[in-house]
Amino acid sequence: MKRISVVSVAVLMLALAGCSTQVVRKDVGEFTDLSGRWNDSDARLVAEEMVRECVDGQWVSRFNKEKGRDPVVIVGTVVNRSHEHINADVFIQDLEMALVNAGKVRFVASKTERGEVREERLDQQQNAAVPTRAQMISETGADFMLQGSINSVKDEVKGQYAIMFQSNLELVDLTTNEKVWIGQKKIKKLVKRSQYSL
Amino acid sequence: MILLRLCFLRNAFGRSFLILAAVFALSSCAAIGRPPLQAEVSGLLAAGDVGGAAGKIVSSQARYGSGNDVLFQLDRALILQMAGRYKESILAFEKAKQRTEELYTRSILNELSTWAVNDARAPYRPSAYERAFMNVFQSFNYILTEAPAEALVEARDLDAKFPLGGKGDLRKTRGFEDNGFARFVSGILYEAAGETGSGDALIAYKQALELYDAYYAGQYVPRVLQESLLRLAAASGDTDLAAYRSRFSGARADSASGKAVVYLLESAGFSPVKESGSIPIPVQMDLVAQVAFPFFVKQEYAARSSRLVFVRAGGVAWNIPSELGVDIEDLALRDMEARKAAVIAKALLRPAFKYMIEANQKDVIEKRSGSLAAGIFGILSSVYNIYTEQADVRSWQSLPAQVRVARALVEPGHYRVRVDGLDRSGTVVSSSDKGERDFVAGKIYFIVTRTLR
Repeated sequence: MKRISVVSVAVLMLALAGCSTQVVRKDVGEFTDLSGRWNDSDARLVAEEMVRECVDGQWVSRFNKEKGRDPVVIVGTVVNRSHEHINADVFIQDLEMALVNAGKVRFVASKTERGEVREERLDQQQNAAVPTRAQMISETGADFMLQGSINSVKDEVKGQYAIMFQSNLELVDLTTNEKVWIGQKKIKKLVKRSQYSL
Repeated sequence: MILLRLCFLRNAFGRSFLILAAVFALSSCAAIGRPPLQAEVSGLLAAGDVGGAAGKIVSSQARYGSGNDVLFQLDRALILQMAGRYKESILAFEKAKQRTEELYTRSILNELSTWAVNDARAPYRPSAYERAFMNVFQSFNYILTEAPAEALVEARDLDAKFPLGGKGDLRKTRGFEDNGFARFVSGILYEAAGETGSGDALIAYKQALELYDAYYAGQYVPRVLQESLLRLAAASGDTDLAAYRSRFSGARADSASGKAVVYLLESAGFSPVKESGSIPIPVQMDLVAQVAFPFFVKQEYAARSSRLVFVRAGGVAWNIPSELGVDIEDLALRDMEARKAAVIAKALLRPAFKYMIEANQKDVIEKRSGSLAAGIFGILSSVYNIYTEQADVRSWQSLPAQVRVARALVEPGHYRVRVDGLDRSGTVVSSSDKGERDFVAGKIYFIVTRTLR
């Protein structure tokens, strides 16, 4: 009888524990891979590594030598050519952050962000005190545009699949259309699922 | 308290009664038959009340039952799409896809309970053809929200799910064919995105042809697909062009130069409903078993064909008839046919399994508690058998019976567009106004609609 009670209580506690919601705070720098899908860790890792490769490239020193200043870069479109719905904006923001933090290039606002800034500047011309107005026609033009794509290949066999995400980035000279840097980063994940559980 | 007392009874009848009561309670937790809310929502849709159906389905998931979350999300997604709530529909489809993936892992306890009670104890897992339609209808959502890049993701996801020629090849593994229409839509999406240079569109059209041929034994290929194959094969100098020209001699690959291209993707009617058939089998004087099996019942709908109508200012109108893209009704029936042997085998084995246990227990009760107790147990067991032995009649009911397709080359300009549904005699039975549209040369447009009548 006693044994039954102890077992019953243990089972009940286990059942209750299974039902409760648990929240565990994670460091954003920590890698979390729950489903094998493209996630925030992948976006950050790829952005950091690719931008590091990019700004360490020969084109920066060549530009510095020629123009006597740091190159100005704008981030263009990153096209999703994968089989997953990827929020490219997260990846683009990671790219922008990595570019700014690298400190070797200057970086200007993207096409969509510029609209709002221009509206504000225009508004300042009418409403702000003269010495504080941002000047019109003084924007910094970009020298290069960073564009890219995310591709994926999935290979699935019963219970397990491998996904390879390949990110391609290209830095294009806005004056000459010359591609001054091409980078590629691959992430491969193996996901195993058991067919049965208790 | 009574149950607890019975638990410690040395009496075999008491113990058996308790076990029977417990399994009975367990079975009552499982949805027997269709989820009640699904039946209500389907009734509203059949009456053309899309808003009412959408309002009802967003209000309560609980009434779909705990094991039916995929089914709930699928119905919810399609009904919200019909109601024009595309963003919510997108989320519901994504949830359905994610949950379907999670259901790959089967619970052993759950599987065992399907032998003790019925198949509705297992969570609803969509059939392969339903999985393909998750991508197809999700891509419609992205077309409707003008997100062509995301629609292409659905095409790629479909390709990853069902790789042709690989081990997941449905033509080899399921006995019925993967639907060529899904690949056909992928081809249209690739072409609309301008991805003809990479060959993606032509490859998708070729896969569609292969699947249509497998399904219809080479007897039916939509005219629009024939024209697309001719057009793209000619543009890329594909080696199959000569074969297509000879096979599709009646098809014309008219140049779209200077014209707008308008695709119609029209879903019509409702897919068949699963019903439960059962045969009670007396196995002893006082013990009755039951064999239950599902079967499909087609749903009537009036608009058996349709046409896409363009009306210019001044009332000048012209139309183009649609053609069958996919017969989901037939696909569902073939899918069930392919699985019939396994379903019937389980439907026969389960009552046999229950009977073995019950007959054995009845003998024990008779020896220990007498024939009266054994007789009562026999009656209770029979009631249990008849109550629980029900076929699994769950299916994605909001799916249409057919999806029809048309491709029109339109002179640039301003038009009023509508889709007319026609009955078997060619009389217009429904008309859906798609509003006024401006068509620009060189662009591709989509009219995505659902005809409920």
